[in-house]
Amino acid sequence: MSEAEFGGQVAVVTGGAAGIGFAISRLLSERGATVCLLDVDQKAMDGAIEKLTKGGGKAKGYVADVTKEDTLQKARDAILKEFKRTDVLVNNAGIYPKATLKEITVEGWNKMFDVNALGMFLTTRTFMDQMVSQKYGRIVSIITNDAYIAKPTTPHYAASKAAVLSLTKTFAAELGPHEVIVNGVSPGAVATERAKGEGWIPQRIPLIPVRRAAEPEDIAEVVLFLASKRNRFVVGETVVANGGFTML
Amino acid sequence: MNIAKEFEGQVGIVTGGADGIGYAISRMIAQRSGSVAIWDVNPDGGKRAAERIGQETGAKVKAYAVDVTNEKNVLSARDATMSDFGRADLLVNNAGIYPFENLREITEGSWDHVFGVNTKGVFFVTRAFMDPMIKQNYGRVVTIVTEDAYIAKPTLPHYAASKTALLSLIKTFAKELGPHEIICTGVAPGPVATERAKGQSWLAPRIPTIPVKRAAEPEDIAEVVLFLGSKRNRFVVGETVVANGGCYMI
Repeated sequence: MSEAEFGGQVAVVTGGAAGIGFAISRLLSERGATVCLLDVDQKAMDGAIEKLTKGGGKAKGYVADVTKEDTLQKARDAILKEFKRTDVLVNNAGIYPKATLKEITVEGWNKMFDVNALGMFLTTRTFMDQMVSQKYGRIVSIITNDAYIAKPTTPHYAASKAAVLSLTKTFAAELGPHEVIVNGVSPGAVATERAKGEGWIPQRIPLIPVRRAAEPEDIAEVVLFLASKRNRFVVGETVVANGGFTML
Repeated sequence: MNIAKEFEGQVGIVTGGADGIGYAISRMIAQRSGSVAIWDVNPDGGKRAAERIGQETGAKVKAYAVDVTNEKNVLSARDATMSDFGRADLLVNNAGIYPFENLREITEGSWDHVFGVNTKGVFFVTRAFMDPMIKQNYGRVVTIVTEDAYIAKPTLPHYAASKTALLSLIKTFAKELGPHEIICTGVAPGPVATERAKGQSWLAPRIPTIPVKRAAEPEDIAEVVLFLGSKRNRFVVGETVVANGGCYMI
């Protein structure tokens, strides 16, 4: 097996400009994929593309809002026009504003489910036809450890991600016969820049059997395995990558 | 990252490595530049497998006749393996049996044998290698479970239950050994087209119920084991990954 495991492949990563999404994009790029970032933030995306292409990688950004199907379709059409195929889709875009049961507004609830659940659905649907017609595809959605547990600080976040667990199974059953393999990854504590700024990580570490938070790259490795041709039989499964914090 | 050299300098131990899934795992470790100790209760099968893989890949591969239900036997095989290879990076608990018997037919002897090999064997072998791994401050332990651990299984009640017990042991071992950079995980395969399974009548009718419309090749399972058993896996801990083509999504 050559070093360029994703050589000749085109990968689409939503929310790929920062954090886990950027780590996934970078690893895909290092391993030979052409990476298409979909993000609402053009400026952040420009910075990410610059970093990805500086080392000789092939990457391009597309402004798209995962809650608006027409923007996704427009991005998809542009990607297919330029690169002809889409082998990998990583549904990574997500939000997690904290609010308790009492604090959540209807707008806050709707926005959470729109980005995290509707967005995963719309993005998957946008790219499925191309993957079906190629008879090859790998779709990996980023979920969260919180999808399985009580989460008083972000009830709507946890619930919107639990919905993605269900969609992952259903899409896997629907698309499996076309050699389009759909899975999820549920990260636990990840030391993104944002999380480091929030200050909750140090208290969490003693509770994690491996005694550290994940680097974004640790999560990216799991995503890349599931998104590769090496994965041929893990289907509809969501792999928990939380260092053993909650073993479910 | 070069996958072909991913296990360079590493030593893998594979129980039940003489054939089926265990053979595919042993071969893939060797293909990716690792050395392999094949443990099998069948001395001739183990030897043949070691020779074949050694010739094909040029890797150092040795066979050990081991009964995983006998701790003394396990410990002396561990000592021999450590003396031959010097370290133990990846342990694959793959040895297992599945005699088809229903609730009415299972004898006490058969019950004990199934739990002896499938459950107690994993406990003995993992315990045997924990100290060398702790000393290295590195280890990966991957245990082969089965999708039957999650479902009703009238044709193999004892097999399914003995494997469900492994789901628990994997979590406990993961918690106990995690602080030493020893990562314990499991893989639960669905239908796999091993030589044995191809000779049995259940495989063909299962295929239409699997979303990807095929049984796994042993190599498909080996890929998952090798990911979890590699340095690339740093944060999937205590988790059992179901690899069943989507047959049951749990």
